[in-house]
Amino acid sequence: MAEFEPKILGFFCNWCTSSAADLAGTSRIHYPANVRPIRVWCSGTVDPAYVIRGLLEGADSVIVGGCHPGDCHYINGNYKARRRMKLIKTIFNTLGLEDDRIYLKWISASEGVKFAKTMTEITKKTKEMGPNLLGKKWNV
Amino acid sequence: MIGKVNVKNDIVKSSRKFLRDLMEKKIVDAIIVPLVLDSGRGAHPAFVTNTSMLDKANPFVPVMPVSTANEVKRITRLKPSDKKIAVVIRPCDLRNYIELIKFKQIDSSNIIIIGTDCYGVYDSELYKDMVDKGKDPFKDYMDLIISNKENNLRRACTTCKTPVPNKYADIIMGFFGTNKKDGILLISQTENGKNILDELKISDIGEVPEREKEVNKLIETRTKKWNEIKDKTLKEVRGIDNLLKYFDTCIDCHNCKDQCPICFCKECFWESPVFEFTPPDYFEWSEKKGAVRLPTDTLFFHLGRLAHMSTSCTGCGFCEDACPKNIELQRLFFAVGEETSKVFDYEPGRNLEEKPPLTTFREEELEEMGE
Repeated sequence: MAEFEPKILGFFCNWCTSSAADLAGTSRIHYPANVRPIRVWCSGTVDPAYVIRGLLEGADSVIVGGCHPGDCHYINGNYKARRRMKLIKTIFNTLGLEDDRIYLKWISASEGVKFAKTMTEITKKTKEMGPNLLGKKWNV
Repeated sequence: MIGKVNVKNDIVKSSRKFLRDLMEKKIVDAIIVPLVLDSGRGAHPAFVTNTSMLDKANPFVPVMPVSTANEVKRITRLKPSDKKIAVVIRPCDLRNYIELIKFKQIDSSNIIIIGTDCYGVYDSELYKDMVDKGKDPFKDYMDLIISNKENNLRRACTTCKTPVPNKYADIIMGFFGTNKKDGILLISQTENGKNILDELKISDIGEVPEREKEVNKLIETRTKKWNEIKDKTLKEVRGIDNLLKYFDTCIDCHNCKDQCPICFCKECFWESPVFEFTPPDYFEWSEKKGAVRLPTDTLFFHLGRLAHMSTSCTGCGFCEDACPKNIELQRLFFAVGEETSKVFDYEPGRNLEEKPPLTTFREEELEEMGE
């Protein structure tokens, strides 16, 4: 049987994490192709609903990537993202859903290496967890 | 200060006298208070400007079909009132009122809050049925309070931890600590409230120690009950299969959201064009899972609503009153809400100065999040 290849949904901010993804690419750093990146202007624009829908539709993990605290292009969007991600993780945890499929990572534009390393790590962890069961449910 | 009004050993007549005085002495220009319907089969909050209508008023009527806080929102959202309005409101709904002020949906200028003691209410269907069967729901209710029983109370009310209004009521109209017959207590909690009682020449009767005793006992019993229900609920829904089971009968009508005082967004995400799909969308989802439940996104709606409003959930239970399928939404939403608000050291309706968790942040916090 072929190895389980997780689908990982990434919401990456334009100014930091998306640029880091570009940097990893132009620097020819290899990382698993499991992550499906979506560029957003700011991690603070990611409504918790998007993360929830991604998981209900079968994403095996969701990563929100933003600028390091204090470095947000919009001054404080990443602090708001941090509260929102904490909120979703709390809801999932309280309801016995797998909150460890939800990640928040700070990766700046210069951190191409960190980007590749983070994606590799999350892919590995997700493979260990196995497929997200929510994605199998027809009645969500 | 604590004062007392007694008209003919009748707490409703006593409360009417107080409200009538407020209008006749021109302390307020209007009063929002539940009026018993002409059929007698229910009561609704009404915006009263003529004192003669107060003959129908019953601030303690055991039925609460809609949120008064939500109505004050409708009245003041576009423009603050330049005339004085007294709002008679129950403790749970007063917390909704405070949350709506924080969300800038209510302008509280010129509003005087008259909070009422509350033992709970009946479901409006039950209230109606009682009247149709020739019973007097209010008499039944007073007997319930005196005998300290809970049969007939709305499910959410039986686990309510706040039978008395919080500090934001200018005046409390109370019956706890009395024999429920010889009139009502009027307790001023703010400068404004005290001035009003002074103006009405209501004299201070001093401490009423029985009140605290009765209230604390009730809070203790119901808190215990809530903790049990909360535990039971969070076990019952644990894991995706159990969670889906909880919403088995949901028809995705969104009534819970429409009646939720905290869900104030004029343009709700779940009513937006985001959910206008085309045939290829359905094919794509179905081909992935073999089938897709219609209407789509039922569980998504509830999880998303938890994300949007649970930190401000006051546990009032209007969601579950509105559910045509009798899903017990209040115990689930309030249980999760207590957990989410706790993370941010927040309690809905507790303090006007506390910002709702999702409208603010601190630079130094949640260090376990992000790396």
